[in-house]
Amino acid sequence: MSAPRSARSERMHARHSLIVAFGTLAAMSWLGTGTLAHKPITSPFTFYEDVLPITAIQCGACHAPDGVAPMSLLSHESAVPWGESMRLELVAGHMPPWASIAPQDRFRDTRRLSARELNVLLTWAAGGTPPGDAPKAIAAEPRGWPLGAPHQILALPSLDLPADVARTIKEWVLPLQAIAGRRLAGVDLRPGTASVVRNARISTRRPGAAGSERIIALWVPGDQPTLLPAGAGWTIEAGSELVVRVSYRKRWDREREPATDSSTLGLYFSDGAGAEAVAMTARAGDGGNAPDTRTASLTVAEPVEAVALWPEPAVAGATVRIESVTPAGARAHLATLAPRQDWERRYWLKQPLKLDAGTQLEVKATWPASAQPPPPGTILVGVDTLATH
Amino acid sequence: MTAERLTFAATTALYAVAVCCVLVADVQAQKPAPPPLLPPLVQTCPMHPDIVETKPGTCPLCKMNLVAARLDAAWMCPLHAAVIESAPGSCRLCARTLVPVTVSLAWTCRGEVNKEHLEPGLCTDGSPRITKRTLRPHGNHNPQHGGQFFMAPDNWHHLEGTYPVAGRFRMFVYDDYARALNLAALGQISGRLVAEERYDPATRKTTELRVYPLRVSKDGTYLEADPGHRAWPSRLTAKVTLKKGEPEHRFDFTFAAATVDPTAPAPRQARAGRSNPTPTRAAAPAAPAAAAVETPAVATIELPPAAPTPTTIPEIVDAIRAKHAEIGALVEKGDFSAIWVPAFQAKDLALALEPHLAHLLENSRAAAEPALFRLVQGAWRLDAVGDTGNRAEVELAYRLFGEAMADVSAAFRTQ
Repeated sequence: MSAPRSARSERMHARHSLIVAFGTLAAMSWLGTGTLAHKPITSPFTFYEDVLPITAIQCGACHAPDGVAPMSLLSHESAVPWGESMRLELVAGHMPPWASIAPQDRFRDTRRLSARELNVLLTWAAGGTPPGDAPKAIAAEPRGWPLGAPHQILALPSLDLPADVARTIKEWVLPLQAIAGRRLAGVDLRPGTASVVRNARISTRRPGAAGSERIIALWVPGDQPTLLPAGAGWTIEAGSELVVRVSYRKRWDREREPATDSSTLGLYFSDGAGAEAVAMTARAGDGGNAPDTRTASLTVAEPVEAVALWPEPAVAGATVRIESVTPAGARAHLATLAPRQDWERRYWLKQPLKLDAGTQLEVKATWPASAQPPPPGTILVGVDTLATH
Repeated sequence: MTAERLTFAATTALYAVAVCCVLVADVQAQKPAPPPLLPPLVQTCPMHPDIVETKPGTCPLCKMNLVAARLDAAWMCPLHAAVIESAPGSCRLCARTLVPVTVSLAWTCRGEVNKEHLEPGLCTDGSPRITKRTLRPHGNHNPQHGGQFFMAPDNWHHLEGTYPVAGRFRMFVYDDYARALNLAALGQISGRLVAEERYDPATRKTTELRVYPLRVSKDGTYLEADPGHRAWPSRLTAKVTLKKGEPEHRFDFTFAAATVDPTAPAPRQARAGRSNPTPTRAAAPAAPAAAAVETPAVATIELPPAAPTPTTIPEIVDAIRAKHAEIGALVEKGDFSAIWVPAFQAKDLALALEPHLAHLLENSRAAAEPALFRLVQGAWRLDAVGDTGNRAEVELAYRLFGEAMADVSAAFRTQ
């Protein structure tokens, strides 16, 4: 964590002082007034007038007083010490946590600031973090079920995090025999204690059946849950169980306090007899790769529509480029992603992508020099498809 | 001449023009000039001057009560730090051009200089209070010896690389007030100068081919190395560990010509021969000595003609492209600390395009919105990495900025 009101802010003061002086003097030459402005706080944007309207919408799901993020961005007092961190995270593109680099209009529910919003936040963070004149905190709205009331709610076992345990990962297994034969359209998670539930990987599997795992949901805080297209679903086979792998971590300011979580799952069933969702995965090849690169490809066996894709945790930190190559050799850029550790999520395509039989999806993941790529055979990317025949 | 100096020169010139205009306007109106406005009060920590708040409270670092201060822009002599003026101009001691700095402003009385007031007024003896300007941390990012000035990633150390004669490198190290470190502090810094290196993408390893240790100079005021000289521009990388046990930092310096130190005695023709020292390991011949000493530290100021403010989409896009080219030229010559000026100008141009998004077709708008975001982000990134002096990071930021600019251009030109 960088020091609040860091050196950066001072340097920006110096720069902006010149800019302000430049602009002021230029204005003076036009207006002929005899005053000289001084402006040690260089940001024309204030927290309550300009910043809060952005953070309340874009950041408030996590950056709330009891949210999972390390600080609230809903009050000037709580946001100011983190101004320099905000600048670093925004310039680096780490926040909001959205891995899609290009094309950014490929996916639904993008978590992205506009150019103006980004500039407002950065100018405020680097320019003295002024509070503004109308301080009023906006409380984050409690998160209900964004998709509406679930068809079925399952409670996860309660978890106690004692004072001396800051983080843990739990894998909860819930039987599904009561709903065998039904088809899932999606699953959402509602944290019991929002400040400790970091992410969850929700899948079904049949015990003893290798390769039977199907990822139903990849949950991260603040995400917009999404269902499969109408009619499509994952059929719950007899003997299946729901596996919920949850990462719990206390906030830095509450690490020494005991915590308890009792999260719940909301199950949404498909009401039609549409296509079955099938996942395809691309595994890293075992040769011919540069030291900083892993490539993978998969071939579409039958005509499908791709509806979503997800980078596996193994590619966190890498830049992942995905292209499709038709049997005729036409190559198209599907997406470039820069996934981050602990932000494993599914990216839903705005428009389903038709893939003919024989089409190849090629994945190239490139790591920075400081990172070690995973071994050959590791799954890099998964793609959710629906059969079209 | 660096762009920063050009900006400063332009600011200076505009200041003069503006003041003249103001004076003329005031004379014409036959009104008395109003008293100058004071900088507004802010609250700072006595122990952590980086902390600047707008309201009273306690320091978030040490919980001490904040104290009131007035921060202001001022102009300081690069040689005589005691000369800090309220306006651009020349040093009253040596006539050198003053450089912009950030100061805290206060008023004192004779005999009680440690007692500071936040307003001008009269002392107990009836004399007017004396204006006192004190340099703020990071208030001075100007090179003090005519070289290239970077800030270390620890946000405290500052480094200035100079190339006083072909083949000789000096690195001055300062604290957050741009005060030169003393010998004891300088001795804790270790590093080397890399004049040539090669990166092998197959092994992802960099091999340093010509390396020279950075040693404390005889007079204990800077670190130095003699890498020899091959060609202009001379690109040299200082790899420095500022404190034992801390990570090594990289600073890339580019010298188009030998540095002329404004604080040094005026160069004499008789010294020209010293610009060609015996290279320690250099294979190539040194540049002509005359070229080294004839390059002035501050060239003649030639202000560019004022460009009309772009208003239409094609004009704005062209203006962004021009700024991109400006940045590219600065990157090429290693003038990283000046990049923020055209970068921020490009950012403001990009923001001026945002209202035009509504005029684009849906497909173009879908591409233009994220491209504008990336352009603004890229400008801020250039601003951030430009100070650090790491060429690889600057070039990466410039490439990303260029990609965003190309996307913006394409999106707005296919409307």
